[in-house]
Amino acid sequence: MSNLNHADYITQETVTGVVPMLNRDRQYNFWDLFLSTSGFAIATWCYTQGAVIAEMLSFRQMLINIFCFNILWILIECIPVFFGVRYGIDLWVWLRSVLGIKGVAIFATVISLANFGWYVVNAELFGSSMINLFGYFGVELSGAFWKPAFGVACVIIGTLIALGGPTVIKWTSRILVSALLVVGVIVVILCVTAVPLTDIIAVKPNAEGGKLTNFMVSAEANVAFAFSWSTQAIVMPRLCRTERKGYWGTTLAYGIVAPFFVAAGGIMALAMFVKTGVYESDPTVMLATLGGPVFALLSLLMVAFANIGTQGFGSYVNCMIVKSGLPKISYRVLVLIAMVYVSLLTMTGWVTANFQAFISLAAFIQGPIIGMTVVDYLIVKKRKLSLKSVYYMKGHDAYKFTNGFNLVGLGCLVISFVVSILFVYNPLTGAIKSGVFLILTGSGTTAVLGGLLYWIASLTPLRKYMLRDRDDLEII
Amino acid sequence: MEKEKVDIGSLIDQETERRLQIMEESSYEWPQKAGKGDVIAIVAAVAVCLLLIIGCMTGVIA
Repeated sequence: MSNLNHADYITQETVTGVVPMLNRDRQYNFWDLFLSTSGFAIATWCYTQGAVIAEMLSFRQMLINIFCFNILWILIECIPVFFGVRYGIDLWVWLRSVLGIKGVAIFATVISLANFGWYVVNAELFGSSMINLFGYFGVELSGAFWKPAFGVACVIIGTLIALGGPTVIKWTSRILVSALLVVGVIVVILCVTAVPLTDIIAVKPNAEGGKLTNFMVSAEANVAFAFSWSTQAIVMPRLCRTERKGYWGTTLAYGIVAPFFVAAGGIMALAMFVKTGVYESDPTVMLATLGGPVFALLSLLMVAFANIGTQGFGSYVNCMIVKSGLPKISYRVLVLIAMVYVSLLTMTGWVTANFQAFISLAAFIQGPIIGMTVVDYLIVKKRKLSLKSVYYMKGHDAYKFTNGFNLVGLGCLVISFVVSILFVYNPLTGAIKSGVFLILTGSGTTAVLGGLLYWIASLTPLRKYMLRDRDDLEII
Repeated sequence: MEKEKVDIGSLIDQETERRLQIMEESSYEWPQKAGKGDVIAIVAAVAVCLLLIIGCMTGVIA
């Protein structure tokens, strides 16, 4: 590589790699982070989520369930954003001290492969929405060909945004997300006026299963939804200039904006039920039915821009996650591999067919990591990390653990995962195994148990193994 | 190809080391920390959410 290429590569590694970002290099203020993250958070799956919950709960409980469970868990799981901003690193670099370098390489890859499932769904929803809209305007397209074709087009355009890195994402988000937020508000208002609000509120939920069970099953969906951001949430804040802007820019996007669109999906599903007797989750069908051609066009813009923005941001974030575990692989190569991977899955339709199990299992892996990270940051390591050890500088090996694996962290993760599935809630079958589910939900249990086990371990002789870094805190 | 991989790897290591040295200097300006107001806002928001959730779970909010 020439000297110029070296300089370019270093710049690229700073914003699209794992090299720590210095304070002076930060590009994002509160609004940049908030809008970029919101662009990521607003996707068509929000409406699917809202429509499912709308069937099970009363109007008031639906809103409380959606907003409160999301806000609660987002505020907690994003606490590590503070270290992300302070040190200019992302979650997965910190996790080297919790799981070990090889543990991070494995879980970063596994979780990113799972996370990309969301983008497959995103692309497929984009495809089906486009077909519905063309159909609404009298153009009949073959779903067998055009659905995956539109889906792959969404992935490719999103990839182009991701290849541009944070700067392109920032400017794309500034324009698109501002417009989308306004459109979202207008959509909710128009929906409510298309069907009397009193009729929407009066819809009786499906009472099968019992009120508390329905409330907590809905909560499980929302907690899993909140968890789905967790491993991706602490990647972008490192671009922000202060801890406060980083934390609130992240939490308001995931905790308020995303749930707002879930609630909008719920309200629209209820409105559709009042009007047609069917809970519809596709926003283009909902809006075309409720409002006619103007709504249909509005929804086309909303779905197209939101899904493409999500593809771009999601590709960037998840490739960054993989880079945390495998730092020597080029960001561009990873983005292109992701494009091929997501496109292939979009063409097969496999993910959507197994969506619930796929996403719930991902949440069950992310839960213990959330619990351990928060406990590690606040209680065990007390907000101090050996930055030299986490980057494996010569003579700093506090986080090498056992051949690159932190057996304590990995043990807590596996135990939490297995215990929760066997004794609390099985996400594959939807079977509730104990009353704990009715208090914490299944995903919530994995986080609480993971954090609890990790904290208990730190009170035993294992503390010495977990905290080899206390004499190596040179940069704090 | 192999040579380029080695170059990229050592380049990342060198740049990381350089940045850590800058961060180690006493003149390095760390990002502004969050304040008590942030902690209070987080705790208050969590408390309100928990109250509303418990209200729904116990049937107080129908």
